[in-house]
Amino acid sequence: MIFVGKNESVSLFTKVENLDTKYIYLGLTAVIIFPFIFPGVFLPVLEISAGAYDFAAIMDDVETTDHVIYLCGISASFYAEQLPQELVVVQELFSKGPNIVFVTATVESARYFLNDVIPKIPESVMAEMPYGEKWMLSAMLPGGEAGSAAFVADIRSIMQYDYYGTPVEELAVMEGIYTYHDFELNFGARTDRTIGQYWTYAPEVPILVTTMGQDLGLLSPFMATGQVDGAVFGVQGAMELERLFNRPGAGTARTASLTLAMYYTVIMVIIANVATFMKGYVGGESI
Amino acid sequence: MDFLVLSSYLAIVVTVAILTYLWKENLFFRIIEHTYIGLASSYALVRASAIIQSSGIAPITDKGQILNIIMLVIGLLYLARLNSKYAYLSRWPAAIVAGVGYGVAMRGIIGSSIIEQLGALIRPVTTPDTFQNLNNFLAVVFCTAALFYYVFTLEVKGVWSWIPKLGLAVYMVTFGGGIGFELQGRISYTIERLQAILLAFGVG
Repeated sequence: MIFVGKNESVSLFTKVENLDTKYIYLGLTAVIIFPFIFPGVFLPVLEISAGAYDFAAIMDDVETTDHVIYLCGISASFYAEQLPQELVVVQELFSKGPNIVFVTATVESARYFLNDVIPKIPESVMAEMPYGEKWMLSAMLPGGEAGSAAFVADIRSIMQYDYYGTPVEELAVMEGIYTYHDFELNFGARTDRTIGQYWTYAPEVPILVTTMGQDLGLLSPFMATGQVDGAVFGVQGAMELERLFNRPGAGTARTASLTLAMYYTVIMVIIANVATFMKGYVGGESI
Repeated sequence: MDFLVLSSYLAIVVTVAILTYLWKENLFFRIIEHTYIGLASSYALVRASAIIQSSGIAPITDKGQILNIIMLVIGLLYLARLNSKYAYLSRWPAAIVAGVGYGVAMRGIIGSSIIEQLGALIRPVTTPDTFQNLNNFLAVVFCTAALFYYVFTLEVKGVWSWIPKLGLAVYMVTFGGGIGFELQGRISYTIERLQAILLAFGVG
């Protein structure tokens, strides 16, 4: 009975425009949990982006003799988007067995790897990757861009100890590693601001990035120029890598909810705009 | 009960307490909010102390790098802010950090963010791929229009007035897209938390 009378239609549009946000959030909650309660009813968008294909192709070429640097600049508030990506990338990387140097640029990054990422790697894989010989974790690398610039030129001048306080020269994995040039591959987890430093210093070292959805606009120009060789974004990116590496995980599980939630959001935005437009068209007052 | 299991259930209780804010402000939300701020601050302080120890003090004691003392003294000058008489000294470490930071950052920015990006912007429009040609052409038009939006030294008017207007439209579309991705991220947080709650009840 929307268009029964002018007054009634005005009232409806005004009410829609001023709908209490808690009902909108309630609807969003229902939309998010629906795919978990009824899995398979809603089919999510499962397209794989070009950046993810590039990412996987470069990872496929990693060899056991390679030295890989894994820069991590994330904090707790990024876990929801970053963790599913890191799980699949680190698991894939450890299964390939290169020499891995984890470098952390925030206070939480080291604990993040030790508590949430590394324990998810199968014990059989970890047995082939002893700490200190095949991988190491740095103490926090402070200083942002300045820290990155010092790091690429002379790693040991700024990273003298690992996370546990062991001098890096005592770690076998650091043998022959003195500058950023000595690495064959760079993984950057949420390191968008310092990419320029690494690329400028050694453009021949491929850079792969895992980051949040909101960084797509920031990184797209770097991907277009080839400065970033492959990148994945948010939960969608995790799903892409899980499909490419055949390691189903949290990314795949959450993509249905994410897709449905984005549909819901777009529909709500359209309804709100129509309500606002119609209220202006037929007249009415805010509640 | 295992500590990990206990912390998982605690995380769910905290999540629900935070989400109650969507209904209205309440005591549970306040308690968790203040607890979170306190924990985050104390954790950051402890980690920062560890970094000062490993990057600042240990090289002095273990390797005799006495020049690190200068850095530690400069860092301590930040604390001069606590005393109004010597507060001006706290500007020095801030100035050094900003100066060195911007100076070093320029090395990366000029090459990677200006020269490379300009090279990528100006691409041929006569390739066999018509769609790519159109894309390359529009990239130059949109970039130029966006730059003109910030030209204040002269008023762009008359037949050329559409250029800054197009620039404004470019910004609006760009920011709109950015907000869309930001929203996607926020929803991802919600999904992660709601999934954790559902898993605690054996769903999903």
